[in-house]
Amino acid sequence: MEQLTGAALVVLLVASAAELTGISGRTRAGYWLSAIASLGAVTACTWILADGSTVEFDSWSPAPSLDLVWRMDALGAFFGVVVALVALFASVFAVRYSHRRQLDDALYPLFLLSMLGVAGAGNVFTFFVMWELMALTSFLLVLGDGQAHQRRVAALLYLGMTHVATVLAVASMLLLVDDVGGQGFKELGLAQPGPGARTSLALMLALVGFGTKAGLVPLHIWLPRAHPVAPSHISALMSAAMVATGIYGIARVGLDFLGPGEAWWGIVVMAVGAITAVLGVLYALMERDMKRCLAYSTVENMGIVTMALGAALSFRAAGQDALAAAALVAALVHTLNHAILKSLLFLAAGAVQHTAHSLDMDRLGGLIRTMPVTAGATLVGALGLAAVPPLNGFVGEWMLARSLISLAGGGGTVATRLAAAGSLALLALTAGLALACFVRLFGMTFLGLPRTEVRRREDAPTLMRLPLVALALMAVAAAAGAGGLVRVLRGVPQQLMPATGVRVEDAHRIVLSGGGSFSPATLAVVLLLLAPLPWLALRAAFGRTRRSRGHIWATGVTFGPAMQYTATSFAKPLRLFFRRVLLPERSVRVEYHGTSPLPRRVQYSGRVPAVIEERFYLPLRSAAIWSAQRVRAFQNGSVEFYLLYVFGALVVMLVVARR
Amino acid sequence: MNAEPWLLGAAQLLFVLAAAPLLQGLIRRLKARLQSRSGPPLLQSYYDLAKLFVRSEMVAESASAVQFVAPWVVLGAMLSAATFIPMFGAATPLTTAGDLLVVIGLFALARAALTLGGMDSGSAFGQMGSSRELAVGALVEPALLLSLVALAVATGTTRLGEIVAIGAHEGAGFFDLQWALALLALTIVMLAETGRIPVDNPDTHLELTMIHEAMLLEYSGRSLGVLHLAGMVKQLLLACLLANLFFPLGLRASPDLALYLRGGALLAGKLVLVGVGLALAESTFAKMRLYELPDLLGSASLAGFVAVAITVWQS
Amino acid sequence: MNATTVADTVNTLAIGMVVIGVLLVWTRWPNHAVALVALQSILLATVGLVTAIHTHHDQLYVGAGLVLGVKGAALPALMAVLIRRARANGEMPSAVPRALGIGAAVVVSLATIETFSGDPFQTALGATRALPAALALILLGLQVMMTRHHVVAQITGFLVIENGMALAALTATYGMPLVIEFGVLLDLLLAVMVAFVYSRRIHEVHGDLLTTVLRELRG
Repeated sequence: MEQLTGAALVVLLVASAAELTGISGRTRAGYWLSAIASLGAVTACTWILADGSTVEFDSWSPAPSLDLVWRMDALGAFFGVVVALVALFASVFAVRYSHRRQLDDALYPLFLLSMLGVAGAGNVFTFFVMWELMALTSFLLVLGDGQAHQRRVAALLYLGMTHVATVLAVASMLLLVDDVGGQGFKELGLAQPGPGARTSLALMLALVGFGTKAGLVPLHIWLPRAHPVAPSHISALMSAAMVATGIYGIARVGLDFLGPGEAWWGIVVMAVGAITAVLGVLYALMERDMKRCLAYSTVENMGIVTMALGAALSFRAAGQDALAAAALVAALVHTLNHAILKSLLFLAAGAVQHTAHSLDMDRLGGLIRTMPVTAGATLVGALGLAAVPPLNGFVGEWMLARSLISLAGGGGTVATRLAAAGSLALLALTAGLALACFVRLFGMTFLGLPRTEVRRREDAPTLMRLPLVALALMAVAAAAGAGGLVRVLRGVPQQLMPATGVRVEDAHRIVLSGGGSFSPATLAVVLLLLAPLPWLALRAAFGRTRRSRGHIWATGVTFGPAMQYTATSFAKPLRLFFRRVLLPERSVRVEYHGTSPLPRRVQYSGRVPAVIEERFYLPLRSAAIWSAQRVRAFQNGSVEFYLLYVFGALVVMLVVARR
Repeated sequence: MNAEPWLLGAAQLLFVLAAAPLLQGLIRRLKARLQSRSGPPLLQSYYDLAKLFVRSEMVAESASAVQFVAPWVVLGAMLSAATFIPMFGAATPLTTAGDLLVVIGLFALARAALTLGGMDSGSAFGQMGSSRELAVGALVEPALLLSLVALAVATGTTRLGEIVAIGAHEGAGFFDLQWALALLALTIVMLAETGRIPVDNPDTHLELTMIHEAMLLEYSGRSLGVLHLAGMVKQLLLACLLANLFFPLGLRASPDLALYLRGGALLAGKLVLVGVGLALAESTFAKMRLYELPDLLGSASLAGFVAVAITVWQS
Repeated sequence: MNATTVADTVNTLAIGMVVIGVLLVWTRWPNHAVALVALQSILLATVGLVTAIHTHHDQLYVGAGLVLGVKGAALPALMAVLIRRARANGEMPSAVPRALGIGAAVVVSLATIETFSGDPFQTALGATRALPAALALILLGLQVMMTRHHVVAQITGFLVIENGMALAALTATYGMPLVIEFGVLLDLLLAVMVAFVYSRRIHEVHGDLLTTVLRELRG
């Protein structure tokens, strides 16, 4: 497996070089090679994960104490699978979809390489080298040619936030390195320092540092800007795979390095996750741009995963390792399912844009007739992300909800258990809102009448439909084989805790150690029996239905596309229900002409402000600029003064040293 | 292979399909009586369904396959949910395949199919109804979950059959403050989920107020009948949940035929009482404005949360 | 040579370097400044030689030779050539009165040496004055750069700081690894060349060689 992984990485480098030098020409060899490398990486990582072993690769030291160490345990291998799986389909999709641009084509394999590198890093140095490579390549991919103002702003915001976050993440890991005296993940994993002020600080730094990459509220603001402006295959990779590396960081520090900790860790992490989930889905509901809506939904799902990590931390603090393992498996299951579903939907959005030349749900509609295959795949993805059983999106949420019920029923302190109950309530609210969000997304785009004329009358090209169908099938398979999936994934907590949290019974059924079992496959069979049964029975009893086509009833007038609801009006009840959270703004201006009582012109405008940006980040920015201007007084341009500062600093230092 | 789950499943499905229109008829008749009308006959719902089942369908030109498939998915999801809910005893046909979370998930599946079907043709009424149904559903979901979780935390299991069995065994210890709060939450959920006053009005087609009926406007014939039937089944299922989870006395975990029959008779009695309660509630309250609903449903969620919190505190 | 003699020699040489640093603050002429820096570098090389003989560290011979060759001979020669080429041999004005400058230099040097004498600052050789002298040299170099706006003064000040650091490294840890010594000396050569290239540009634009005009470069 070491050779296979190495080969995959080499192929990615070759792909990058081929595109950079232009050897590949018009063949799109870079993307084909990336797809092949991803397939190899999926195979290798799955093998490592299923085998339950830890693979150590050859390390390489360019300079003393700068060892590039590669090591993959089950946790790393799992995230390698997530990255490589998304990359496989995104690469195939990109062959037809992506616009030719030499730098982007060359960066794409490097981006994949860096994400795999993050999953396979074996020490702190290697991890952050790969982490920064990932940040830089994704920044350049978001920036593109930098012509559009929107892309420039999004990319720079992303770059700024990811760098601040990296500083905190580095600080988090260095705190632990300082205690342990080694920077290898192996030594750090064995140390398990447990509760304390320093470890608490390390966890909080990791939560902020890695949480920025995962898009946790209030650090999410870059995500719904940066993810959608990139081309769809990049969006898919960022929103399905790259956010998962943030989760990986939190899990690595919180559940591997720290060991059983303080009770309040879990409460904080659960609370952050719950708030992130609710706000993420609420803002997703308010968006009319398909990809921005999907990006906000990523925020929501990372919140759900974080909730599960919080539950795991709580259980560990209470000494209930088996239940902690179950919660961790819930987080992993949901990460994987989210990756499948979200990449499916981002690629579908790419197909919609390719065909309809728009992503604005207020202008789309009725695409199910021109794009039946894309519509079918999107329906699977949308229902999956809406957490509707028996699809795979429900599986992880079921495991999480069941874990939270166990936590509320008896897991440590009363505060923890109340937090679990509160998280459960917010999880249910999130699920309800997600249903509204994805029914809206699918219904507004694919159902009804086209709101604007679509010129192209056929579905996306085969090479773009193929990954969509494959991902939809994977979503179904991940649900049907949920038991088997969980059986593989329980190897991850086994290495960390050591407990499995899940009992092995059937390949189709999940049995949690906290009680409760669920079989999506059985449920699907029951549904597939009980849905057609009444149809058959009624047909046998009353004969076939005669069906005729007519017009839509519209109180007697002819129905037109403009009479339909739009995505914006569809969300209005929820916009009003949650007006105290969203603070929507609207203004209506009516102009009258002379003394006529009839208005001449009515102008309506409304928007949902990004409250956190406007109330938190803008004042922060103003304060930073203000203090920078004050500091500028010291910078008077004279070399002598600068030397005086150096002189003064030196004298102060000497005085301090002499004390 | 043990035949008992299969027989119990068949019995429950047949009971649900047969009794759901009767419960609907009962409520309609009681409501009429409370409003000093004579009202439709008790069996009117059966006649309505039979009439719809034989009629031909008229669908919009813009409708796609979604509109044809949706009614069957809604009914299928409801019938699947029926196999997880204890009815004549504490046993359920399916035990290890799912729990109360799956029942809530199946309700969500039905809602997804219903709302997508309503949006399919492009009719503004259907889209309006879907929009409102989803908004109300998002607020209902936490209340429903929390009311059931209060029982789950108290009994230490999420399987509905086991909750009933433990409740029946512990007996009177069940009647506490948290029990009453959870019951209140579930009652409000039931009013909202069955499209009744004060949330929706099942008797009107006024666009300002309707939610459920608006989604069905583009449906006709057999599809409409199936959707009506599915709505009645949902009502019956919620009534069963309320009756058996909160009043589990007399239900056994592994009953024989006689106990099943006794459980069935108990259930019938309890369902009549639930029906009376619903009719009374609907005749007493006034319809609320749509945008005031968060207050009502929010207080249901709050009641549910307090119920869970008290249970957590006491355990 | 016994250890006491070595320590005394090193102490004397270090004090000598400081005295030369003070003279650098005082001098007005570019050619004198270059000569003084060359002399200071030769003293530094001598410190290296003495240490090398005493400790038998072979690399220190190389280091001392390098210092002698580059800082003591090549750099001063290069600077002399460049000064002639750039016609930069005019008087170097001082931003503060010279009496005040020399007074400050003496006070700072004495204060530093007195404050940092004692056990914690004793070097491996047993020399007690070497490290305080190195600190004083760094401060003196900074003072030269601050008060003299002439490009030659900037470079000589820089070299004095450099010598101070080298003295500290030499006496505290028997010198730096040779690779780093090489790198530092290469840097110095480059810095001097760049400084003169820029000074010619400044001369062409502004007609003098004073760095005060760089005030206009404020961002």
